[in-house]
Amino acid sequence: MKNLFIILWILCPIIAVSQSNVIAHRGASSIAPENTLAAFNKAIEAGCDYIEMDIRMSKDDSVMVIHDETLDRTTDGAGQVNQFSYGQLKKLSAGYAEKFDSEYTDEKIPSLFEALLLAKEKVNVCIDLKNSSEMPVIDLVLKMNMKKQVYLMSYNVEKLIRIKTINPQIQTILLKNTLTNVDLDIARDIGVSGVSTSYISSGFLVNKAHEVDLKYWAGIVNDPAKAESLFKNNVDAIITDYPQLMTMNIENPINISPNPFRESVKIQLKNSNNIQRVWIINAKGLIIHEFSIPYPNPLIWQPDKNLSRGLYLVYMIKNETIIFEKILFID
Amino acid sequence: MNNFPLKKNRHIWAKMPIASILVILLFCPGINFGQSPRQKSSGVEASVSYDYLEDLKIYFQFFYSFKKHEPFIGIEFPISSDPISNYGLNAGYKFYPNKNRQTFDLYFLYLLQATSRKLYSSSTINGFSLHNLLGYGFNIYIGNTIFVKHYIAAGIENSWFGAQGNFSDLSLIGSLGIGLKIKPIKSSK
Repeated sequence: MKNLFIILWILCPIIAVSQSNVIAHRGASSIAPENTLAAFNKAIEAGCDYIEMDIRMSKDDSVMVIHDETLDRTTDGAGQVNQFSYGQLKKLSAGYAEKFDSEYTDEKIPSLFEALLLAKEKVNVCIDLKNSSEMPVIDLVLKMNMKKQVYLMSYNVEKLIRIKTINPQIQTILLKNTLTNVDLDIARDIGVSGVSTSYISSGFLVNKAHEVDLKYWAGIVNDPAKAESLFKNNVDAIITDYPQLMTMNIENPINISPNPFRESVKIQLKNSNNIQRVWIINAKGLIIHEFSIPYPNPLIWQPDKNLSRGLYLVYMIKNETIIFEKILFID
Repeated sequence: MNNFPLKKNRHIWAKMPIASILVILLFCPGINFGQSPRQKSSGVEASVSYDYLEDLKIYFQFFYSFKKHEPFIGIEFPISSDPISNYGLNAGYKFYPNKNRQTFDLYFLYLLQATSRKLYSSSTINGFSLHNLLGYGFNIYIGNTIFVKHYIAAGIENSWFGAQGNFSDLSLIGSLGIGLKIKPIKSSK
C-alpha cells in the first residue's frame, strides 16, 4: 500500500491531468475581436491550452492573421486582403466595430510573427492555413523554434502532405466539417497528428481516431455542459469561442485555508458529491490521515503536534478522478 | 490542461433513437389509417423529453386546436438526478399540414423554452436559457380523445449567466408523451 502511494505521488501530476484541452477559436472571440492580439491575450488569461488563428497572405507576401478573404466584416477597410500590402493592412482597425463598437478600435491585424511571439512558451497555437502557402509559415515556425508548440491545420490533404514532405516534424491537423471512417484512414496515411471536426459526429469516431493514434478535436462548442459531455467521450480538445466559460471548470475544487497553516487547516469542498476518498499524504507518499465517510464540508485537519512540519498533500478521489492540493504545515 | 469533473456519460448523439427518427422520416407522411374533420378543441398533454444536455424532463402542456393550428403553453420539471437544465416554461405552435385529422397525425412544431440551468454539471453558477426550436412530430390517436405524441426539434439555445457571460449553441430535444383532448373531435361517418 505504501509503495502504491509512493508511485501515485510520483505519477500524481500525470494522473491528475486529463486530456481535456480547450482551444480558443480565433482567440477569445466572444469577448474580443477575433484574430487580434487582444483576443489571444484574453484566451491566454482564461487559461486555455491552445489558441486557434487563421492566416492570409498580404499583397507583399506577409502572413497576416485574419479569417475572411475580405476586410469588410472585421476591419474598417474593404476589399480583398491580398490586394493590400503589410503597411496598408497595419493602418486598419481590426476592432470589429459591428460587434464591439469602439472598445477595440486600436486593435490592428496582427502578423503571424506577432501572434506567435505572443504565444511562445505560453500557449499552443493552431494555425488554419486557409489559402496561404505553407512555406513561409513553416519557415517562421522553425525560425521561432516553435514546432512543438504549433499545429498547422488545413482542409486540403495535398497541402498537409506537402508540409510533411518539407518537414516531417511539423505537427498537422486535418480539418473536416463532417468526418467519416475514410477520412480517418486518410489522416493516418498522411501522418497528421489529429483531426478536427464538428462535434456532432464525434461520438461515433473518436475511439476509432484514437485507435489509429490520432488526436480528436471537436468544435465549435460554446456550451460548457456540452464540452463536459465531449470530454467524457474522450474528445481530446474542444474548440470554442468562449474559453473563459470552459476554463471555469478548472477552478480548484478544493479551497484550503489557511495555507500555510499552524494548528489546523480547513478544506472546503466546492462540491462534496461523489467524493470517494480523502487522505492527507506526506512527501514520501505515506498516508498521514484518512477522513472518514460521510465527509463534512468543510473538512478540518488538525495534525498531531509531534508531526514534522513540511509539505503535505490533500489527496482526493472524486468521480474516479484524482484531485490534489499542496498544503504547508509550519511552526 | 483542464480537469473537468465529469458526472456521467453525456453523449447524446450516441443515444438518440436513430431508428425511430428514420421511421418517422420514411413513413410518417404516408401513414393514413383514418380521418376525422378537424374542429375546435382543447386538451392537456404530459410528456417526457430528452435533450442535448442528456436531462430527462417532464412536461405538462395545455393546447387549443382550431383548423390546422394548435398553440400550446406548458411547464417543465427535471426528473433526472442532478440535472443541468432545471424547471422552465414553454410555449409553441403546431401546424398540421393535413386538412383532416389523421390517426397518424403529422405536425410541424415551433417550440420556445425558457429554463433555468447550470453552467455545467458540477457548477454552482445558475443561469437562464432560451431555446428557439423547430421540429416535427406526430400524434397517434387511440380512440377520439387520447393520443400518443412524439416530436423532435432542433434550434439555438441562448444562455445568460450574468457576470460569468453568455453563450449561444445548438439545441436539440426529443419528446414522447400522451395527450388528452378535453373536448373530443367528432368522428366522420
